[in-house]
Amino acid sequence: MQQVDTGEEGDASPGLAIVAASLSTFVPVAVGIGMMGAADGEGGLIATGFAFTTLGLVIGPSAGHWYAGEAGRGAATMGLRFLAFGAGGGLTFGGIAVLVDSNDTGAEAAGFTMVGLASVMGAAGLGLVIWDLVDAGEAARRSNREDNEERRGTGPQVRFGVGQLSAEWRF
Amino acid sequence: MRRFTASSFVLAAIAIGASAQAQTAVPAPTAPAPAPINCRRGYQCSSYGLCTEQNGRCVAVTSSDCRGSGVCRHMGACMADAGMCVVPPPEPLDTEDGTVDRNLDVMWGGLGVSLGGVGLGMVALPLLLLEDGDGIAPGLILTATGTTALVVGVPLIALGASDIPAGTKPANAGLMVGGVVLAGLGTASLTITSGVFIGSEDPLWGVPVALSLATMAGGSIMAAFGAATVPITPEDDEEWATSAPEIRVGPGGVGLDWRW
Repeated sequence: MQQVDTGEEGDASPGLAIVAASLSTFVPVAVGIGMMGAADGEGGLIATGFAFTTLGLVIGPSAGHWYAGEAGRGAATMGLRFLAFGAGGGLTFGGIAVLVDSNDTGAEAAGFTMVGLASVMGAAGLGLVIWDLVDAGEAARRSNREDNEERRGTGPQVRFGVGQLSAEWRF
Repeated sequence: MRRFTASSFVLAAIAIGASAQAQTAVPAPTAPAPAPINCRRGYQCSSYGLCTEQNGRCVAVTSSDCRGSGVCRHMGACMADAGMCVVPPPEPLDTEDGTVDRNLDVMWGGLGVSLGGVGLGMVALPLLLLEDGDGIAPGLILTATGTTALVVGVPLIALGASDIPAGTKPANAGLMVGGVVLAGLGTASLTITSGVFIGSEDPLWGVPVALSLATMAGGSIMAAFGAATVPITPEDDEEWATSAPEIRVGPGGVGLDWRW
């Protein structure tokens, strides 16, 4: 049977990648929500809590990919989440401002459209959060497979063992 | 590049031996015209899949020659190659021989769910704009449902479109999809409970928020276990090889193979 490299063996642990992504997402989000909930109208605490929550959602899920050695992929998905949440936040504030100031149906429609688009952007951002959390373990396996492939190298290789001899030529 | 296993070569040797035995029955050129060989009868077809006559020899030409044979049933040599039945090498899922190198069903499902979510949002918009305000409650429900669908659909598209390495498959696609759905519901619940409870006087406001966070985390971890790649087993190969109906058309015959 052909040997299949599942990526379970290697430097990066899939379990640790999942733990890294989960902790760096959920701990700041929980702390941030806790701060906002306990703020009792205090602006500074609300802003700090909001910042914690946002950073947890934007940066946290990429931690698993960074741990696994997929720095570029982690940065790319972080950028996408930043764009999605940034656009979503901007559209929400813009839409609410339009709705508050609206005097006619046209402006109201524009305001609701902006808030609707903000929901789409926010939902896409949250979807990207889940994707990175789910993919963190697989990122470690991918990285291990690539490392194993590199270690094997190219050219002729002969291996001796107790009761066995194998020869291989990779190109 | 196609690589065969050691058992393939053993089978090949067996098959060559069987074929050689069949050949010995063919008379020398000086003898009267040889009687046509009926390769479908006899042990070489039923045992080794050598069911098609070619240049006076019995060989395996198509995989359907192999699938009814003993070497396919007992040793997994269900693919015809160079006149013999061999064990197919592990290949990326989804090629034409019945396997998939991506979770295309998951990807298309995610796309459908996402488009459904956008559609619900578009239906919600005119309801929210009704002048008498009667549409606000159903509009908000539709918006929340549509948003949740997007939260679930986006990771399903991304996970479904990701490459699956050769020779492996997701450990449990159902667990992966279920986990993503649970994580999506947790995320939607987190958004709603945060909006409703933060700043409220209720001393237990943290409980629903914490439960939502736990649901999101639990769903994500469950999905990660389901998405983990594991090696393809011979049972998987057998299942993929025989699950689809196959129609055979040949000179003087039409056949249908459908095994499950």
